[in-house]
This record gives sequence, structure tokens and C-alpha cells, in this order.
Amino acid sequence: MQLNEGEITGPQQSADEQELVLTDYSPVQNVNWIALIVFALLFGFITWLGFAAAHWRRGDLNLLNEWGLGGRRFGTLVTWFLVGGDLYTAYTFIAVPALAFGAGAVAFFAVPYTILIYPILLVVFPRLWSVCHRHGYITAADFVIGRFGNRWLALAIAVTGIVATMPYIALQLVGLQVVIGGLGLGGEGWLDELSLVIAFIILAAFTYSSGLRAPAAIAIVKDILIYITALAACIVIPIEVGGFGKIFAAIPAQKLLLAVPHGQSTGAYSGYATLALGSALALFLYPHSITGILSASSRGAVRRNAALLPAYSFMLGLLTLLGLMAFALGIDKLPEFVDGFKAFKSNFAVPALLLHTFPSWFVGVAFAAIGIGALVPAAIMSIAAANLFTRNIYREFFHRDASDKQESQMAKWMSLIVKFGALIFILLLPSQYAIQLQLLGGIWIIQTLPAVLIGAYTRWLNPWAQLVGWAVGIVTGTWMAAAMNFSATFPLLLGAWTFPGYSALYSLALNLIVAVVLTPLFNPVSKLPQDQTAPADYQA
Amino acid sequence: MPLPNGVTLETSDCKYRRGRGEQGISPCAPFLGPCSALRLQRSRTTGSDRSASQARQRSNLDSGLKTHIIRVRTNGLLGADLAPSMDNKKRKPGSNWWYLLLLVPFVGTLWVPFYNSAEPAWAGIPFFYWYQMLMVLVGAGITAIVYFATE
Repeated sequence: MQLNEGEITGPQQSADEQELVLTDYSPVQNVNWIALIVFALLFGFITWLGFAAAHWRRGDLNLLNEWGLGGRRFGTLVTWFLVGGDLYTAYTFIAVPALAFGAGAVAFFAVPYTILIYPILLVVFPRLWSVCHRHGYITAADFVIGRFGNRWLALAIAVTGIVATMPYIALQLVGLQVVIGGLGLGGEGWLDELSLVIAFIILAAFTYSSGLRAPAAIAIVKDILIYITALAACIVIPIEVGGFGKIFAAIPAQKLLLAVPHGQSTGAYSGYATLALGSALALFLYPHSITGILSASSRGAVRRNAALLPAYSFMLGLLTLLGLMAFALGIDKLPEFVDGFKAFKSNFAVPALLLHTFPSWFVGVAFAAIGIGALVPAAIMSIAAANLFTRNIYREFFHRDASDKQESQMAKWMSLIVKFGALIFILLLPSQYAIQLQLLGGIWIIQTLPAVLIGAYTRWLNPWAQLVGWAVGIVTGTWMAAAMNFSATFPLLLGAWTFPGYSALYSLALNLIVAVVLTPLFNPVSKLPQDQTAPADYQA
Repeated sequence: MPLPNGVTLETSDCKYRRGRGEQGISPCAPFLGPCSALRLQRSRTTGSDRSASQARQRSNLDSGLKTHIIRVRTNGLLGADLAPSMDNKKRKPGSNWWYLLLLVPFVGTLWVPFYNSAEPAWAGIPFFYWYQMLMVLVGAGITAIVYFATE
């Protein structure tokens, strides 16, 4: 799930924001051997599972539809695990509680955010699933070119998807780094990098060989482990502290609730609401979300999951509370965790809390859940980016006569390139760049909403007008974020009032206005290609 | 059956194949027989005359073309493709009003001043927290209700 960690707050929390940015390592603590062994065993198991998944619901992996969408064969339950594992990433489980730990109530925006995605899923995505199934579309850009017949608009959608996904993959590595550090491997510098490289070689190999079947199979294991961890933590820790009342009593008032706006500004309220809404609108535009949904075997499986997936939101809310529990316990003051917090800042809150509370073997299980939780979305994201590149750039612009085998081979190679790009990015550059780029990624991906979500209902908007709107949205959104020093909220001035809000939502509004205004101007001068989709295709 | 380049029998479920050409008809249309005629007709419909085309398709289906299409589809390459869309046609008019219920989670979460308070606390948990957790359940319940009501 998309998260603008450390960037979410209103202006008053800006001091906290800076603290959340990761810096380089310092020694963490001694290696926790029992936890490490359990962690390694579980990793070994999912490695085997990832390769074995190639034979699951067997299909010809030389077809992009089979490699990149699992043959669209996943029923309600597997889709539940797959999409759940895809949207609620390791980074989410680390960073949302970390934000609660550092900044308090504002982190809870993740809850309304993940409430709002499901009405959208229920209404829009069965239509998209149907039309993509009917026409064999594998990516959102496939749909756009079929719907609007404009390859340049489709190219914009594809490039936006790829560019927005790359830093997201890199962030999964940040989550993995934190748990590796928590196991005590962060000390030497090279050890944690080696662990990261090993984890990524495993990831790259099973993604290459099994395609989407690998993360789908692994997601089942990972999600069960995550549910066990979240439930155990939310039962054991409040008992240890003496009830939820004591936990909340230990949180200072300015962290417990959002700051009440004063003067002529809507303050933290509009920031909170626009972040929730904007993030919800952006989430299902990400290529990995669309890949997860399109791999469902039926329209009904997508619809049922709109009612079933909120279980993950509930768990995310519980995990967010872990950040507050860590704060109430004063966990960063405990001597054994001082080094960890120095290395990872607030992101160490959840690992420290787990280390503090549970026996080593269960720490191994919990850390494995988070670590595997990094691999599942990273695999799906790299597959999604590879599908986009292959279908909408390579085949559309470079090799129109590519055979099915060439197509799927290109996608496999592309998935490797994307992942190793992310790995090198994380190893060589400070992770705050990945965090800032991911914030920008959210702003960029939401600009594809007119073509994909509105396009699922009407092709009234002229494709060239959409392309101009897209460009305007990208430029202004990027400018807003940069002007605010990569904070997610932008103080919009309207008359005497200030409306601090998520820059993605503001730039999307501008994008839509431009597209609507230009459509009647562009329609007479541009030839409108035929729509390959028929109204009935959206209901099938 | 002679097959054009790039189409294998194994992948003959043509819905998985994307149009290679610029626009228009699916590449497998030439050997779909009567089905291709239907496709042609469909691909001409655009968003503007949606309701008209839906009505036309419905009347086509009702006027005996139905059996013809089903036979072609099941014998042909598209398999049971059309069956779900037939089910959808049976949907009761007016049932779409249920979708308005989905506005409840939006109203309930986006008006922040309503829930940004510590009281009424529940079991020591401030309103801000338990209310939003409750909204997760309410939101899930509403999507479930709408799912069953529009099934």
C-alpha cells in the first residue's frame, strides 16, 4: 500500500518528520541466533514454495498471460491472499507504526485510507476486470489503447506506472533491511548488505521461473504469519502494559489526537482527509494492484474481495496501535535498542517491540512474516512493471510482431532489471531518496485516473486532452511536493483560507479541469479512433 | 483448421489475445464465423449510444439470435464466454440504488472534526481510534450488503 512515510503530517509535526528518515547504519546488537535460524528456515521454505509454484495450476509460462497474470486462475481465496499481500506491504507494517510512534494520531490516516479503497474496488474494478478479461488486456495501458486508440496516451500510462513502481520496490528493501538489522546482522555493514542481496537473488530467481504464481503461493504463507503476529502482539502487549487505557494514558495529548485547526486554515483536518482520499484513489491505479486484480478468475472473485479484504485494514489498524504501544513502553530508551533506533530511527519501533515482548523463536516468525512480506509485493511490482514495459513499450513501439514467447521472455528479463535497479538504488543511495521518490510516485500514478477509472465508464474525455491534463498534473504535483520539501501536503490558498491537503489530489483536480476544458476544443481537430470495447464487455 | 501466424490451437481462447492491428476487430475474428459478425457490430458501438446499443443487443438476443449465438460460442473458440453476460442482463432494474450505500464510509471517514476527540472513550481507547476501527467493520459490512444486494 502506498505510504508517504514521514511526510504525512501537517506543518506542526515537521520536526518529527525529519526524524523518520533513515540514515546509515551503526552497530545494532548481538546476533539473535534462535530468531535468525527460524527466520532462515521460513525463508528456505518460501524459496522452495516459490519455485514449486511454477507447477501450480499449470500453464504455459511462455505466455505473458500465464507468467504475468497466473493465467487469471486465482479464485476468491487466493485473490484475497494475493491482493492482501500485495497492498499491505512490509514497508507498511514497519512505517505506519513508526509514524504512529513518532508523530501519533496522524498515522491513523492509513485506516480511513484503507476503508475507502473497497467501495472503489467494488464499483469500478469488476468493470475493468470484465473488459480486460474479454479482450485479453494485461495492463492498464492495454485497456487505454483499446478504449481510446491513442498509443501515446497508453505510453504515458505505462511509463507513469513503471516509474511510480520502481521506488516502491526499493522501499520494500527498506522494510527488509530493518528486520535484518533487528536480527542483529546490521553490525558489520557488509553482513546486512549480503543478506539483502541473498534475499533479492531468491526473489529474482523464483519470480523469473514462476511468474505471478510464486508471490500468490508465498502470500498465503506470509499473510498467515502476519495475522498470527498482529493478533499475538495486540493481545500480549496490552496485557503486559496493563490494558489499552494505560497505553493511551501514556501518550501526550498533542500526539493522541490531530491538532485542532486555528485561524483561517483547515489545518490537520483537511490534510488527514485528503491524504486518505487521495491515497485511496491512487492505490488501485498502481500496476501491482491492477495485476493482482486482473489475475482473479472471475468478476465475482473481485467483487467478493471488496467485502473480504477489509480484514487486512483491521489488522493494519491494530499494527498502527503497536507504534503507540512502543511509545507508551518508552522502547527507544531501553539500552538494548538504543543502537537500533540510532540506525533505523522510528522504523525500529515494531522490531524493537517484538524483540522486547516475545521469545526469540516467535521473533523469528514475526520477522520472517515482515521479511517475506517485502518479497511478495516486490515480486508482484516487478512483474507488473515488466508487463507494462513488454506490452506497451517493447511490443507497441519496438517489436510489433513479437511472438508470445519473445514477449514473455522480455517480461522475465525486465522483471530482473527492475528488481536489480531497486537493489542497487538501496545499496548505493540514502533511503530517504527512495521515500521521496515514492511520495512523487503516488502523485504521478494518480494522474492516470482519468484514463483508467473514468475511462472504465466513458470515453467522453478526448485522449489528447487527457494527455495534456496528465502532463499538467505531473508537473504541478511534482512542483508542489518539491516546494514543500517533499512533504505530502500542500497549503492551497483560496481567498483568505488555507487548505493544507495532499498534493496528489490537488494536482489531479487540475489534471481533470484541463482535460475537461480541452476536450471540446480538441474533439473537432483530432480524429477519434474506434473504441475496441463494447458496453456489454464491461458487464461480462 | 488453418491458423494465421501467431495463433496456436493451444491458445485458441481468443479472449486472451490482444488485437495486433491498430483498431477494430479481434485477430481471431476471421475464423469465428457468425460470432465475428456480432463482434463487428459491437465494436462499432461507442459510449454515446450505449443504452441504445444495449437495448439493441437485448432485442437481438430475445429474437432468436440467442440460441444461435450460444451454439456458435460454445462450439466455437470463445467457450462459455457469453454466459456470464447473459446472467447480468437479468439484473433487476433499480437495484443499482444499493450502490448509494457506499457513500456512507466516505462521509463517515472524511469529515474529520466529527471523530477527532478522546471522548467518548471505550475501554480506555479514545473515540478517535475505536471509531475508525469500527468504521473498518462498518465499511466491510456495507460492501458485503451491496455485494449481496446486487448479486
